[in-house]
Amino acid sequence: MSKFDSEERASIVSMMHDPKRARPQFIRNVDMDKVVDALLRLSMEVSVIRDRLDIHEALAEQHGIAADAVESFVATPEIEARRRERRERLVRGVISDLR
Amino acid sequence: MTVPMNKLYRPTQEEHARQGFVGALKKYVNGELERDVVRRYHDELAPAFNAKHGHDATNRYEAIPVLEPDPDFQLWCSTVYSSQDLLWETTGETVDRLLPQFDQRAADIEANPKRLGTLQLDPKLELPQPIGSTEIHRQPGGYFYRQSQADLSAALLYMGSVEIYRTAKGFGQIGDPCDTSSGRSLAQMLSGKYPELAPQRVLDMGCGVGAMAMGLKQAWPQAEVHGLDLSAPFVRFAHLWANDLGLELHMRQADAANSGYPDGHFDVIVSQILFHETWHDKLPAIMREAHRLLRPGGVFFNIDTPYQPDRIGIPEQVLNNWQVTNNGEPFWVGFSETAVQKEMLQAGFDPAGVFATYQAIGGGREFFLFGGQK
Repeated sequence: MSKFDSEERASIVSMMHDPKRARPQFIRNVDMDKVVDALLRLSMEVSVIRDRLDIHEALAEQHGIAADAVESFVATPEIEARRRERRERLVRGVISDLR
Repeated sequence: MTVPMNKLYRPTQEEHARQGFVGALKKYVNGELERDVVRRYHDELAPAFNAKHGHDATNRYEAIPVLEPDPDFQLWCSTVYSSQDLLWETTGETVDRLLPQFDQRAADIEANPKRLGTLQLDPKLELPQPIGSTEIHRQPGGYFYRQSQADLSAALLYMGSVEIYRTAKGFGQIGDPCDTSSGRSLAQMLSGKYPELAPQRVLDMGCGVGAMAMGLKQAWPQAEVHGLDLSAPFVRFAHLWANDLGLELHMRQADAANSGYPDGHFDVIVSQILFHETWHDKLPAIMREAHRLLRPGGVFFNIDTPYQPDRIGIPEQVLNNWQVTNNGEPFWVGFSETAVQKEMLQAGFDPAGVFATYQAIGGGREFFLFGGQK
Protein backbone atom coordinates (compact mmCIF):
# COMPACT_ATOMS: atom_id res chain seq x y z
CA MET A 1 0.00 0.00 0.00
CA SER A 2 1.40 3.41 -0.91
CA LYS A 3 1.53 6.29 1.53
CA PHE A 4 -1.34 7.89 -0.39
CA ASP A 5 -3.89 5.11 -0.24
CA SER A 6 -5.09 5.60 3.32
CA GLU A 7 -6.00 9.24 2.83
CA GLU A 8 -9.48 10.29 1.83
CA ARG A 9 -9.51 12.35 -1.34
CA ALA A 10 -10.34 16.07 -1.00
CA SER A 11 -12.31 17.42 -3.95
CA ILE A 12 -10.78 20.20 -6.09
CA VAL A 13 -13.81 22.40 -5.37
CA SER A 14 -13.32 22.00 -1.58
CA MET A 15 -9.61 22.92 -2.02
CA MET A 16 -10.69 26.17 -3.70
CA HIS A 17 -12.76 27.07 -0.60
CA ASP A 18 -9.98 26.28 1.89
CA PRO A 19 -9.62 29.33 4.22
CA LYS A 20 -5.84 29.13 3.65
CA ARG A 21 -6.50 30.23 0.04
CA ALA A 22 -8.14 33.47 1.24
CA ARG A 23 -8.27 36.10 -1.45
CA PRO A 24 -5.95 39.15 -1.15
CA GLN A 25 -7.61 42.58 -1.22
CA PHE A 26 -6.57 44.61 -4.28
CA ILE A 27 -9.19 47.40 -4.37
CA ARG A 28 -8.35 49.96 -1.69
CA ASN A 29 -11.45 52.16 -1.87
CA VAL A 30 -14.43 49.91 -2.30
CA ASP A 31 -17.32 51.91 -3.71
CA MET A 32 -20.31 49.92 -2.47
CA ASP A 33 -22.72 51.80 -4.77
CA LYS A 34 -20.87 50.39 -7.77
CA VAL A 35 -20.91 46.90 -6.28
CA VAL A 36 -24.69 47.23 -5.76
CA ASP A 37 -25.12 48.37 -9.39
CA ALA A 38 -23.19 45.38 -10.67
CA LEU A 39 -24.97 42.89 -8.40
CA LEU A 40 -28.40 44.19 -9.34
CA ARG A 41 -27.54 44.04 -13.03
CA LEU A 42 -26.46 40.43 -12.57
CA SER A 43 -29.62 39.57 -10.60
CA MET A 44 -31.75 41.14 -13.32
CA GLU A 45 -30.00 39.11 -16.02
CA VAL A 46 -30.36 35.87 -14.03
CA SER A 47 -34.07 36.61 -13.56
CA VAL A 48 -34.49 37.28 -17.29
CA ILE A 49 -32.81 33.97 -18.11
CA ARG A 50 -34.96 32.06 -15.58
CA ASP A 51 -38.17 33.50 -17.08
CA ARG A 52 -37.04 32.76 -20.61
CA LEU A 53 -36.11 29.20 -19.61
CA ASP A 54 -39.58 28.69 -18.11
CA ILE A 55 -41.11 29.47 -21.51
CA HIS A 56 -38.82 26.99 -23.24
CA GLU A 57 -39.44 24.23 -20.70
CA ALA A 58 -43.21 24.70 -20.96
CA LEU A 59 -43.07 24.66 -24.78
CA ALA A 60 -40.84 21.57 -24.77
CA GLU A 61 -43.23 19.72 -22.49
CA GLN A 62 -46.19 20.69 -24.69
CA HIS A 63 -44.32 19.14 -27.64
CA GLY A 64 -43.41 15.94 -25.78
CA ILE A 65 -39.67 16.59 -25.34
CA ALA A 66 -38.23 14.73 -22.33
CA ALA A 67 -36.19 16.68 -19.74
CA ASP A 68 -32.99 14.65 -20.38
CA ALA A 69 -32.94 15.89 -24.00
CA VAL A 70 -31.42 19.09 -22.58
CA GLU A 71 -28.36 17.27 -21.24
CA SER A 72 -27.70 15.46 -24.51
CA PHE A 73 -28.13 18.57 -26.66
CA VAL A 74 -25.06 19.49 -28.76
CA ALA A 75 -24.82 23.16 -29.73
CA THR A 76 -23.94 24.08 -33.32
CA PRO A 77 -20.98 26.44 -33.95
CA GLU A 78 -23.56 29.19 -34.69
CA ILE A 79 -25.19 28.70 -31.29
CA GLU A 80 -21.78 28.65 -29.57
CA ALA A 81 -20.81 31.90 -31.32
CA ARG A 82 -24.12 33.52 -30.25
CA ARG A 83 -23.50 32.44 -26.64
CA ARG A 84 -19.96 33.79 -26.68
CA GLU A 85 -21.23 37.15 -27.90
CA ARG A 86 -23.91 37.25 -25.17
CA ARG A 87 -21.47 36.32 -22.38
CA GLU A 88 -19.00 38.96 -23.52
CA ARG A 89 -21.75 41.62 -23.52
CA LEU A 90 -22.73 40.67 -19.94
CA VAL A 91 -19.12 40.77 -18.72
CA ARG A 92 -18.57 44.18 -20.32
CA GLY A 93 -21.75 45.56 -18.71
CA VAL A 94 -20.99 44.32 -15.19
CA ILE A 95 -17.39 45.51 -15.24
CA SER A 96 -18.37 48.89 -16.64
CA ASP A 97 -20.61 49.28 -13.53
CA LEU A 98 -17.62 48.63 -11.29
CA ARG A 99 -15.41 51.24 -12.95
CA MET B 1 -18.76 0.38 -25.35
CA THR B 2 -15.38 1.81 -24.46
CA VAL B 3 -15.26 5.57 -24.36
CA PRO B 4 -11.79 6.99 -25.20
CA MET B 5 -10.26 9.51 -22.80
CA ASN B 6 -10.71 12.50 -25.08
CA LYS B 7 -14.45 11.76 -25.22
CA LEU B 8 -14.76 11.30 -21.44
CA TYR B 9 -14.17 14.97 -20.65
CA ARG B 10 -17.77 16.12 -21.06
CA PRO B 11 -18.93 19.04 -18.88
CA THR B 12 -22.68 19.00 -18.18
CA GLN B 13 -24.70 21.78 -19.80
CA GLU B 14 -24.49 23.81 -16.55
CA GLU B 15 -20.73 23.25 -16.16
CA HIS B 16 -20.30 24.12 -19.82
CA ALA B 17 -22.26 27.37 -19.35
CA ARG B 18 -20.21 28.33 -16.26
CA GLN B 19 -16.92 27.57 -18.01
CA GLY B 20 -18.08 29.52 -21.05
CA PHE B 21 -18.77 32.51 -18.81
CA VAL B 22 -15.31 32.25 -17.21
CA GLY B 23 -13.80 32.15 -20.69
CA ALA B 24 -15.65 35.33 -21.67
CA LEU B 25 -14.61 37.00 -18.39
CA LYS B 26 -10.94 36.12 -18.90
CA LYS B 27 -11.02 37.25 -22.51
CA TYR B 28 -12.40 40.64 -21.42
CA VAL B 29 -10.14 41.30 -18.41
CA ASN B 30 -6.97 40.05 -20.16
CA GLY B 31 -7.93 41.90 -23.35
CA GLU B 32 -10.07 45.03 -23.37
CA LEU B 33 -9.70 45.92 -19.68
CA GLU B 34 -5.93 45.40 -19.78
CA ARG B 35 -5.62 47.58 -22.89
CA ASP B 36 -7.65 50.31 -21.11
CA VAL B 37 -5.24 50.23 -18.13
CA VAL B 38 -2.26 50.57 -20.48
CA ARG B 39 -3.96 53.41 -22.39
CA ARG B 40 -4.73 55.23 -19.12
CA TYR B 41 -1.08 54.93 -18.11
CA HIS B 42 0.11 56.50 -21.38
CA ASP B 43 -2.63 59.17 -21.63
CA GLU B 44 -2.90 60.33 -17.99
CA LEU B 45 -0.58 58.70 -15.47
CA ALA B 46 2.71 58.93 -17.40
CA PRO B 47 2.28 62.66 -18.26
CA ALA B 48 1.48 63.36 -14.59
CA PHE B 49 4.65 61.48 -13.54
CA ASN B 50 6.69 63.46 -16.07
CA ALA B 51 5.23 66.77 -14.87
CA LYS B 52 6.18 65.93 -11.27
CA HIS B 53 9.64 64.39 -11.84
CA GLY B 54 10.77 66.10 -15.06
CA HIS B 55 11.32 62.74 -16.83
CA ASP B 56 9.40 59.62 -17.89
CA ALA B 57 9.37 56.46 -15.80
CA THR B 58 12.19 54.37 -17.25
CA ASN B 59 11.48 50.97 -15.69
CA ARG B 60 8.74 49.01 -13.90
CA TYR B 61 10.09 49.85 -10.44
CA GLU B 62 9.33 53.56 -11.07
CA ALA B 63 5.97 52.75 -12.70
CA ILE B 64 4.58 50.36 -10.05
CA PRO B 65 3.79 53.15 -7.53
CA VAL B 66 2.22 55.16 -10.38
CA LEU B 67 -0.24 52.40 -11.29
CA GLU B 68 -0.93 50.89 -7.86
CA PRO B 69 -3.25 53.66 -6.55
CA ASP B 70 -5.18 53.81 -9.84
CA PRO B 71 -8.79 52.47 -9.55
CA ASP B 72 -8.73 50.90 -13.03
CA PHE B 73 -5.50 49.06 -12.25
CA GLN B 74 -6.93 47.84 -8.92
CA LEU B 75 -10.11 46.66 -10.65
CA TRP B 76 -7.97 44.82 -13.23
CA CYS B 77 -6.03 43.09 -10.41
CA SER B 78 -9.23 42.13 -8.62
CA THR B 79 -11.06 40.78 -11.67
CA VAL B 80 -8.03 38.88 -13.02
CA TYR B 81 -7.65 37.24 -9.60
CA SER B 82 -11.39 36.40 -9.41
CA SER B 83 -11.43 34.99 -12.93
CA GLN B 84 -8.52 32.69 -12.05
CA ASP B 85 -10.36 31.41 -8.94
CA LEU B 86 -13.48 30.81 -11.04
CA LEU B 87 -11.39 29.03 -13.67
CA TRP B 88 -10.23 26.45 -11.10
CA GLU B 89 -13.54 26.14 -9.32
CA THR B 90 -15.57 25.54 -12.50
CA THR B 91 -12.96 23.17 -14.01
CA GLY B 92 -12.60 21.42 -10.64
CA GLU B 93 -16.36 20.76 -10.57
CA THR B 94 -16.09 18.79 -13.84
CA VAL B 95 -12.88 17.01 -12.79
CA ASP B 96 -14.29 15.95 -9.40
CA ARG B 97 -17.36 14.50 -11.11
CA LEU B 98 -15.53 12.69 -13.93
CA LEU B 99 -12.47 11.40 -12.07
CA PRO B 100 -13.89 7.90 -11.34
CA GLN B 101 -14.58 7.40 -15.06
CA PHE B 102 -11.03 8.44 -15.96
CA ASP B 103 -9.65 6.11 -13.27
CA GLN B 104 -11.61 3.22 -14.77
CA ARG B 105 -10.47 4.00 -18.32
CA ALA B 106 -6.86 4.31 -17.11
CA ALA B 107 -7.08 0.94 -15.34
CA ASP B 108 -8.46 -0.69 -18.52
CA ILE B 109 -5.62 0.66 -20.66
CA GLU B 110 -2.95 -0.26 -18.10
CA ALA B 111 -4.32 -3.81 -17.91
CA ASN B 112 -3.90 -4.24 -21.68
CA PRO B 113 -0.62 -6.09 -22.38
CA LYS B 114 -0.69 -4.81 -25.98
CA ARG B 115 -0.73 -1.12 -25.04
CA LEU B 116 1.44 1.11 -27.19
CA GLY B 117 4.63 2.91 -26.18
CA THR B 118 6.23 3.08 -22.75
CA LEU B 119 5.71 4.91 -19.45
CA GLN B 120 8.64 5.32 -17.09
CA LEU B 121 7.80 6.82 -13.68
CA ASP B 122 10.43 7.62 -11.06
CA PRO B 123 8.92 7.38 -7.56
CA LYS B 124 12.28 8.39 -6.06
CA LEU B 125 12.59 11.59 -8.14
CA GLU B 126 13.18 14.57 -5.90
CA LEU B 127 11.34 17.55 -7.35
CA PRO B 128 13.72 20.51 -7.78
CA GLN B 129 12.70 23.47 -5.63
CA PRO B 130 11.08 25.93 -5.74
CA ILE B 131 9.44 24.33 -8.81
CA GLY B 132 8.09 21.35 -6.86
CA SER B 133 6.30 23.47 -4.26
CA THR B 134 4.85 26.09 -6.64
CA GLU B 135 1.21 26.18 -7.76
CA ILE B 136 1.79 27.39 -11.34
CA HIS B 137 -1.21 29.50 -12.48
CA ARG B 138 -2.49 28.95 -8.87
CA GLN B 139 -3.75 25.53 -10.00
CA PRO B 140 -4.98 23.95 -6.73
CA GLY B 141 -2.34 21.45 -5.61
CA GLY B 142 -0.06 22.34 -8.55
CA TYR B 143 1.21 20.15 -11.39
CA PHE B 144 2.55 17.46 -9.05
CA TYR B 145 -0.52 17.03 -6.84
CA ARG B 146 -1.83 13.54 -6.21
CA GLN B 147 -3.63 11.87 -3.35
CA SER B 148 -2.93 8.37 -4.66
CA GLN B 149 -0.37 6.98 -7.11
CA ALA B 150 -3.19 6.77 -9.64
CA ASP B 151 -4.60 10.30 -9.13
CA LEU B 152 -4.92 11.97 -12.57
CA SER B 153 -6.70 15.11 -11.33
CA ALA B 154 -3.68 17.45 -11.80
CA ALA B 155 -3.53 16.50 -15.50
CA LEU B 156 -7.30 16.79 -15.96
CA LEU B 157 -7.42 20.20 -14.26
CA TYR B 158 -4.61 21.47 -16.47
CA MET B 159 -6.27 20.13 -19.61
CA GLY B 160 -9.67 21.54 -18.58
CA SER B 161 -8.20 25.01 -17.98
CA VAL B 162 -6.54 25.01 -21.42
CA GLU B 163 -9.93 24.09 -22.88
CA ILE B 164 -11.54 27.19 -21.36
CA TYR B 165 -8.94 29.47 -22.99
CA ARG B 166 -9.19 27.68 -26.33
CA THR B 167 -12.97 27.83 -26.39
CA ALA B 168 -13.13 31.49 -25.29
CA LYS B 169 -10.99 32.34 -28.31
CA GLY B 170 -13.40 30.45 -30.56
CA PHE B 171 -11.04 27.51 -31.25
CA GLY B 172 -13.26 24.42 -30.90
CA GLN B 173 -15.87 23.75 -28.25
CA ILE B 174 -15.71 22.69 -24.62
CA GLY B 175 -16.26 18.95 -24.65
CA ASP B 176 -13.88 18.38 -27.55
CA PRO B 177 -10.57 18.56 -25.69
CA CYS B 178 -7.15 17.09 -26.31
CA ASP B 179 -6.19 19.23 -29.30
CA THR B 180 -2.87 18.12 -30.83
CA SER B 181 -2.60 20.78 -33.55
CA SER B 182 0.29 22.57 -31.74
CA GLY B 183 2.59 19.60 -32.47
CA ARG B 184 1.57 19.43 -36.11
CA SER B 185 2.16 23.19 -36.56
CA LEU B 186 5.56 22.87 -34.89
CA ALA B 187 6.57 19.98 -37.18
CA GLN B 188 5.59 22.09 -40.18
CA MET B 189 7.59 25.06 -38.86
CA LEU B 190 10.67 22.88 -38.24
CA SER B 191 10.48 21.29 -41.68
CA GLY B 192 10.30 24.80 -43.19
CA LYS B 193 13.33 26.06 -41.23
CA TYR B 194 15.40 22.86 -41.63
CA PRO B 195 14.38 21.38 -45.03
CA GLU B 196 16.91 18.52 -44.69
CA LEU B 197 15.34 17.39 -41.40
CA ALA B 198 14.09 13.78 -41.34
CA PRO B 199 13.85 13.07 -37.61
CA GLN B 200 14.20 9.53 -36.36
CA ARG B 201 14.08 10.34 -32.64
CA VAL B 202 12.38 13.39 -31.12
CA LEU B 203 12.11 14.61 -27.51
CA ASP B 204 9.54 17.05 -26.09
CA MET B 205 11.06 18.48 -22.89
CA GLY B 206 8.44 19.52 -20.33
CA CYS B 207 5.77 17.77 -22.39
CA GLY B 208 2.91 18.36 -19.91
CA VAL B 209 -0.12 16.23 -20.76
CA GLY B 210 1.47 15.35 -24.11
CA ALA B 211 -0.60 17.31 -26.64
CA MET B 212 2.42 18.59 -28.59
CA ALA B 213 4.25 15.24 -28.52
CA MET B 214 1.14 13.59 -29.96
CA GLY B 215 0.90 16.16 -32.76
CA LEU B 216 4.60 15.59 -33.57
CA LYS B 217 3.97 11.83 -33.82
CA GLN B 218 1.01 12.46 -36.12
CA ALA B 219 3.17 14.71 -38.34
CA TRP B 220 6.21 12.40 -38.28
CA PRO B 221 4.78 8.86 -37.97
CA GLN B 222 8.15 7.29 -38.81
CA ALA B 223 9.87 9.00 -35.85
CA GLU B 224 10.22 7.64 -32.32
CA VAL B 225 8.66 10.40 -30.18
CA HIS B 226 9.54 10.81 -26.50
CA GLY B 227 8.06 13.12 -23.85
CA LEU B 228 9.64 14.11 -20.54
CA ASP B 229 8.09 15.95 -17.60
CA LEU B 230 8.64 16.32 -13.85
CA SER B 231 4.96 15.62 -13.17
CA ALA B 232 3.96 11.97 -12.76
CA PRO B 233 0.23 12.62 -13.35
CA PHE B 234 1.04 14.51 -16.58
CA VAL B 235 3.21 11.80 -18.19
CA ARG B 236 0.84 9.04 -17.06
CA PHE B 237 -2.11 10.90 -18.57
CA ALA B 238 -0.14 11.44 -21.80
CA HIS B 239 0.67 7.71 -22.02
CA LEU B 240 -3.01 6.78 -21.59
CA TRP B 241 -4.26 9.43 -24.00
CA ALA B 242 -1.69 8.41 -26.68
CA ASN B 243 -3.01 4.84 -26.43
CA ASP B 244 -6.53 6.06 -27.01
CA LEU B 245 -5.34 7.87 -30.14
CA GLY B 246 -3.43 4.75 -31.29
CA LEU B 247 -0.08 6.57 -31.03
CA GLU B 248 3.13 4.95 -29.84
CA LEU B 249 4.81 7.45 -27.49
CA HIS B 250 7.55 7.03 -24.90
CA MET B 251 6.86 9.03 -21.75
CA ARG B 252 9.26 9.54 -18.87
CA GLN B 253 9.01 11.31 -15.51
CA ALA B 254 12.39 13.03 -15.14
CA ASP B 255 14.17 16.33 -14.58
CA ALA B 256 14.98 18.03 -17.92
CA ALA B 257 18.41 18.91 -16.50
CA ASN B 258 19.18 15.27 -15.70
CA SER B 259 17.08 13.18 -18.05
CA GLY B 260 18.90 9.83 -18.02
CA TYR B 261 18.90 9.35 -21.84
CA PRO B 262 22.24 8.44 -23.55
CA ASP B 263 24.51 11.00 -25.30
CA GLY B 264 23.51 11.95 -28.87
CA HIS B 265 20.19 10.08 -28.59
CA PHE B 266 17.91 12.60 -30.37
CA ASP B 267 17.72 14.35 -33.77
CA VAL B 268 15.30 16.99 -32.48
CA ILE B 269 14.57 18.37 -29.00
CA VAL B 270 11.66 20.78 -28.61
CA SER B 271 9.88 22.54 -25.75
CA GLN B 272 6.78 24.65 -25.44
CA ILE B 273 6.32 27.06 -22.49
CA LEU B 274 8.85 25.02 -20.51
CA PHE B 275 11.31 27.75 -19.63
CA HIS B 276 8.94 30.40 -18.22
CA GLU B 277 7.52 27.76 -15.86
CA THR B 278 10.98 26.73 -14.70
CA TRP B 279 13.17 28.45 -12.11
CA HIS B 280 15.65 30.42 -14.25
CA ASP B 281 18.62 29.05 -12.24
CA LYS B 282 17.85 25.70 -13.90
CA LEU B 283 18.02 27.05 -17.46
CA PRO B 284 21.80 26.64 -18.08
CA ALA B 285 21.73 23.01 -16.87
CA ILE B 286 18.70 22.20 -19.06
CA MET B 287 20.44 23.70 -22.09
CA ARG B 288 23.63 21.72 -21.39
CA GLU B 289 21.52 18.56 -21.09
CA ALA B 290 19.74 19.29 -24.42
CA HIS B 291 23.15 19.75 -26.06
CA ARG B 292 24.42 16.45 -24.61
CA LEU B 293 21.31 14.58 -25.80
CA LEU B 294 21.46 15.80 -29.43
CA ARG B 295 23.43 14.07 -32.18
CA PRO B 296 25.87 16.34 -34.09
CA GLY B 297 23.73 18.62 -36.30
CA GLY B 298 20.64 17.91 -34.17
CA VAL B 299 18.06 20.68 -33.72
CA PHE B 300 17.01 22.38 -30.45
CA PHE B 301 13.81 24.45 -30.85
CA ASN B 302 11.79 26.19 -28.14
CA ILE B 303 8.54 28.16 -28.04
CA ASP B 304 7.86 30.43 -25.09
CA THR B 305 6.29 33.67 -23.85
CA PRO B 306 7.34 36.94 -25.57
CA TYR B 307 7.58 39.13 -22.45
CA GLN B 308 11.21 40.24 -22.58
CA PRO B 309 11.49 43.76 -21.04
CA ASP B 310 12.94 45.28 -24.21
CA ARG B 311 9.96 43.90 -26.10
CA ILE B 312 7.07 45.29 -24.08
CA GLY B 313 6.14 48.69 -22.68
CA ILE B 314 6.56 49.92 -19.10
CA PRO B 315 2.88 49.51 -18.04
CA GLU B 316 2.78 45.98 -19.52
CA GLN B 317 5.85 45.18 -17.43
CA VAL B 318 3.97 46.33 -14.32
CA LEU B 319 1.02 44.07 -15.19
CA ASN B 320 3.37 41.13 -15.78
CA ASN B 321 5.03 41.85 -12.47
CA TRP B 322 1.61 41.65 -10.79
CA GLN B 323 1.00 38.24 -12.41
CA VAL B 324 4.38 37.09 -11.07
CA THR B 325 3.57 38.24 -7.55
CA ASN B 326 -0.10 37.33 -7.35
CA ASN B 327 -1.23 34.93 -10.03
CA GLY B 328 1.06 31.91 -10.08
CA GLU B 329 3.69 32.98 -12.62
CA PRO B 330 6.72 33.25 -10.29
CA PHE B 331 9.28 32.19 -12.91
CA TRP B 332 8.12 34.56 -15.64
CA VAL B 333 10.46 37.49 -14.89
CA GLY B 334 13.57 35.33 -14.36
CA PHE B 335 13.09 33.78 -17.79
CA SER B 336 12.25 37.02 -19.58
CA GLU B 337 15.44 38.63 -18.25
CA THR B 338 17.67 35.71 -19.32
CA ALA B 339 19.85 36.15 -22.43
CA VAL B 340 18.94 32.80 -24.00
CA GLN B 341 21.34 33.11 -26.96
CA LYS B 342 24.29 33.59 -24.61
CA GLU B 343 23.15 30.59 -22.54
CA MET B 344 22.85 28.38 -25.64
CA LEU B 345 26.37 29.36 -26.76
CA GLN B 346 27.71 28.58 -23.29
CA ALA B 347 25.94 25.20 -23.45
CA GLY B 348 27.98 24.44 -26.58
CA PHE B 349 25.54 25.06 -29.46
CA ASP B 350 27.03 26.02 -32.86
CA PRO B 351 27.22 29.86 -33.01
CA ALA B 352 26.17 29.76 -36.69
CA GLY B 353 22.80 28.20 -35.84
CA VAL B 354 21.81 29.88 -32.56
CA PHE B 355 18.75 32.12 -32.92
CA ALA B 356 16.14 33.98 -30.86
CA THR B 357 13.21 35.64 -32.60
CA TYR B 358 9.52 36.55 -32.34
CA GLN B 359 6.86 35.02 -34.55
CA ALA B 360 3.07 34.81 -34.66
CA ILE B 361 1.80 31.22 -34.50
CA GLY B 362 -1.62 29.72 -35.13
CA GLY B 363 -4.32 32.25 -34.24
CA GLY B 364 -1.94 35.16 -34.61
CA ARG B 365 -0.51 35.42 -31.10
CA GLU B 366 3.19 36.20 -31.03
CA PHE B 367 5.64 33.81 -29.35
CA PHE B 368 9.33 33.90 -28.49
CA LEU B 369 11.20 31.26 -30.50
CA PHE B 370 14.79 30.29 -29.76
CA GLY B 371 17.11 27.41 -30.42
CA GLY B 372 20.13 26.19 -32.31
CA GLN B 373 22.00 23.24 -33.76
CA LYS B 374 24.68 21.09 -32.22
